[in-house]
Amino acid sequence: MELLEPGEPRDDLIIEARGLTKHYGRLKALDNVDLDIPRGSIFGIIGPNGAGKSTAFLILATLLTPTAGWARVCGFSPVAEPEAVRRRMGYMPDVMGVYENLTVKEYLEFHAATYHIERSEWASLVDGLLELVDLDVKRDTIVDELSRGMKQRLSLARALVHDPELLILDEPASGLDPRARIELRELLLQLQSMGKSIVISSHILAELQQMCDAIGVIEAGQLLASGPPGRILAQLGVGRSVRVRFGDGTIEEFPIAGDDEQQALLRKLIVDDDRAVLEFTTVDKNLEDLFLQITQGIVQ
Amino acid sequence: MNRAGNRAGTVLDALIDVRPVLDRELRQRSRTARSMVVMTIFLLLALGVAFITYTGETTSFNGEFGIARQNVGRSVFEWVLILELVLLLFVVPGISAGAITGERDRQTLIPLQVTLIGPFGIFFGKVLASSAFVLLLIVATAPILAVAYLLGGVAFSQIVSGILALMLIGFLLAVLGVACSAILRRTAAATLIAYGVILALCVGTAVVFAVLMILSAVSRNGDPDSILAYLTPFYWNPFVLLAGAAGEVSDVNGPWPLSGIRTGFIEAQNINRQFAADVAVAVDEPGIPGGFNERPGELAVIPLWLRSSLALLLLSFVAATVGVRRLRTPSRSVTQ
Repeated sequence: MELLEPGEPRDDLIIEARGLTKHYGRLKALDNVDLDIPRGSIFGIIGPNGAGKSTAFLILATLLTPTAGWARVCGFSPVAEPEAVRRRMGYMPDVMGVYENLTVKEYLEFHAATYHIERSEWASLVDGLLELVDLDVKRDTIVDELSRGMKQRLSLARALVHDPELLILDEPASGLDPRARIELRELLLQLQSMGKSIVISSHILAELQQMCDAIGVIEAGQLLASGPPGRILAQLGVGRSVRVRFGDGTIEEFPIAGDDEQQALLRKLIVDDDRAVLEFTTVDKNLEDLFLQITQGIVQ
Repeated sequence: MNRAGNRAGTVLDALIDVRPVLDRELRQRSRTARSMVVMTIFLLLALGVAFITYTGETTSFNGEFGIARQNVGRSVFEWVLILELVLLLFVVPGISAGAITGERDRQTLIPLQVTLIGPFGIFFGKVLASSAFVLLLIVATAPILAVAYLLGGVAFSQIVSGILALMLIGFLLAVLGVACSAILRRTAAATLIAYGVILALCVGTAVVFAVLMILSAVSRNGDPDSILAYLTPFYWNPFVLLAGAAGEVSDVNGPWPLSGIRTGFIEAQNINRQFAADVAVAVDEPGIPGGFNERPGELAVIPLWLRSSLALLLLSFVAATVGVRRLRTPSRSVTQ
């Protein structure tokens, strides 16, 4: 990896990456990705399976070396200064592994020990975390006996055990029922209000759209776009469209940018083209539509 | 500021890092029935072998082929030690070769690797957890060895050194098992390779030793390197360490099971001494420098148990180094 980093770390960015690339043999898992994620924000990464989201997260979480490019997480290099990053970052992988025969309390105590937290602090720490993730009544339950949603919340509590500045969450809502997803979203917003920066990937895009300050769209290892959700949708031309049903029964869809364009389109169809319009419906598109287009290869 | 504690990164800190994994492993192990079942079988087999040996020896003592009664204790002692070693050879890789691959299978390794304990703490936490179980098995059978002591023919110091040798071998086996588990991705492959290495140590070294002995005897005046060659594999064998620790090298005349190994050592030394003398005359040197050779008249200055311990510790060091390196992150690939 090229470790030369231009300039001083920027205080306003929790994650900064330039030209981040990872090759597995001939496969380009990540291809020249640049990221600027503001401190205190919730940043969502969307993309189909195999797009490179988890690879990017593994590099940022100090687990994987990139083939080229550099990154700075919480002001430190995840390759050259992994311990400094680990002190400040909590990582939640897409699958929560559990140990057999350990209670929820013991699980968190074990992870507190792995971050060198004094034993005298464990009791109050575990109490606080379990209250935060609403698992305080499950403290003596064997971890393996928890529901999937509870395991995800426990995994989040584990990532928070050392009070990190940054949370990197890989598909935390995967496999959760709607109620659990809403609870998770509320929890993440609460963590943001506590000053945490959060980077999250998810397939539950409606929630991502509601909670993220910015998103990055990744496909085939490349970052297609990055910014606030509304701007991305407009940028990729999937923000809004008009569905028109004509007199001959055909239905056509026309992308539009705003209300003016909508009126112009209607005038063009009726006056200029002299077509019989039976129905004229505005369709607001969201990240779900964007995701569908990406996975269909429409967005290039 | 976050809660993560600060450490200076000293060797002591690295040793302290072992504790969280060790604590958790021991806690989990104590809650499963498997540990209790293995220990029960281990104890029953040790008791069975002690009883059969005692019965057999005291019966033959009354007949014409009997041995001196005071040596019944030694026979029980050595047979129980051999049984314990054989059981350890089977049990320890079974519990240690899944140590890291099990974490991978359960998806718990990555959350561990992003903490502050590092690859050394993970590796040796696993090794010590397996070794602690070995310690428990050996301590549990200590009363049987105490009975052998009461029967006579074996010194208390030999019982202690025999137990220590078993512990050292148990530690080596745990290191080998965990190293295989760190290097390979699947528990089945790690277990297979661990058993393969152990087979090479127990049987392979004996075969190589025997072949080199024959070759060396044939070409006594040949290449001096052959001395080093035929002595070296001898020490990598766990049974050799046990034989060296459980009795004096001079204990070669009894009918005890480990006498054969000690006899082999003496034979090898005799050939070595004769050969060293021949070479010394030829090159005007008092001996052959390096390796495990003695100068003439310095037979067994370095005891057999120490030579074997050093050889096996060297092997443990190499295995641990490779295993720890394999767990280091960030790495070029991550097995999830």
